[in-house]
Amino acid sequence: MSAVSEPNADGNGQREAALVDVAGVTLTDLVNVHGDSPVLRSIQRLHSNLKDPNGVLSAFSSFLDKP
Amino acid sequence: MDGWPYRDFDVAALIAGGWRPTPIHEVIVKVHQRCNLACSYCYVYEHADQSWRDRPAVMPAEVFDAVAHRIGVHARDHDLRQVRVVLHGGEPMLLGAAALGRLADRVRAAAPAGCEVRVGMQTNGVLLTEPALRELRRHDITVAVSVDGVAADHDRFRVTRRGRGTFGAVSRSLELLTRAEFRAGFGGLLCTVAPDTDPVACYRALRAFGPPAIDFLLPHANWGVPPEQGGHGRWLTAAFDAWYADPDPVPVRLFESVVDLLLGGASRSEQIGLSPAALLVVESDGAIEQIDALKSAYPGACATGLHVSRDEFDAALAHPGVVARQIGAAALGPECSACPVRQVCGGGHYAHRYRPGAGFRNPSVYCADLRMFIDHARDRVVADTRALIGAVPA
Repeated sequence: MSAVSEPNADGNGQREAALVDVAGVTLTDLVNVHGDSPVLRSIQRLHSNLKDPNGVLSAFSSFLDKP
Repeated sequence: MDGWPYRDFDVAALIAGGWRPTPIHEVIVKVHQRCNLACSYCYVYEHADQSWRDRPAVMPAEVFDAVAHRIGVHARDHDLRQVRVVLHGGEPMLLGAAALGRLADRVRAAAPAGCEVRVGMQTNGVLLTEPALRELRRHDITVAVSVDGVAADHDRFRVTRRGRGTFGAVSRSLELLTRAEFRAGFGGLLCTVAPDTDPVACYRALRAFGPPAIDFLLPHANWGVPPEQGGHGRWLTAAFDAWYADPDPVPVRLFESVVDLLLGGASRSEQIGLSPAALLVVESDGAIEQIDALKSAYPGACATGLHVSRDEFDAALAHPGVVARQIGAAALGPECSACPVRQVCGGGHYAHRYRPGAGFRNPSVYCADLRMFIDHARDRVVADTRALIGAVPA
């Protein structure tokens, strides 16, 4: 499995080229990996963000997050 | 109104085609229009829009009551579970902590049952005393403070009207904020990037205050008024590396958002990514406006023509400037749409895309800096993700 997508000639491939491709590995698998790193913290964040109280992930300017 | 989205953008057609706006989740309330500092880069006082001069210094009580009412109606109409209200200025602490507490109570009282109202304040930190913090805590008002890194750098920009640096006063406030009794009300630190400073020293200086979060903000600039200096990309890259390698890092919203976006998630920062901006500002005279960073573009750039005395926030959801910030990649111009990092960059901060005569459908004036920073972050995330996938059993 390739961890990183390569740029393709078509528009969709180009869009995906900026993203890290973890296709084939579920979020649950990655959340359960032990350890601590910026990437693991991000995966845990993405997992918890699925439960946004308003159901829409929006951009904020304030510092009002609570642990 | 200048260029796109006020030209060549048909909101009615968008809505007729099935697009629906995101309700407002965060309202920035300009409770005090004046400031006790004279920071050189301030977008309220030092940039194109000077509308602060014609507005009340203090938001009248009836205007605030109307703001609270509109927030309550909006939360009820859209069944919002959480709304964020930021008491802002100018300098909100010029109002006094007791008055801020009363405002927090009023806005919470106007919210429907089941909707949590988180109230915060963005302050320069100079007026935060122990009694003030006790009062703010009593009313559950979260405090975020602006600090520009190490003392010498902070004192270059964040000065009193007589030109004296404020790092000492802010440091004393932050020592109070990190005490156990006030810690839960400490929101974070906001730092404006100065590319001729040491980014690693800056990150470490901010981190030494023990904040729960940090955010770095590129100074507001656009194609008509470009940044005074270059090197913001190098600065962000070095600060990112210091944060990335920190074994016990403080969350940095911009950096976390970039990593999240690279992994296919959404941004919670309005500086980057394509998440809808569900924000509105209410000025001290009751005008409902777009995000105040647009004051750096041209006079009146924030205006919507709406007012809390007669308009619901829903009316703003059909305003071209508000809609433009909620349509994701559709707001990007041809150059951004062809860019391989567009999902991550998202065109950068909306205010930084402004070009006189053309409007806001342009790359960020920090385009090259953002590309350098994102490419570097991507390399690091790719390497770590490869290692992580190797750790996941097949």
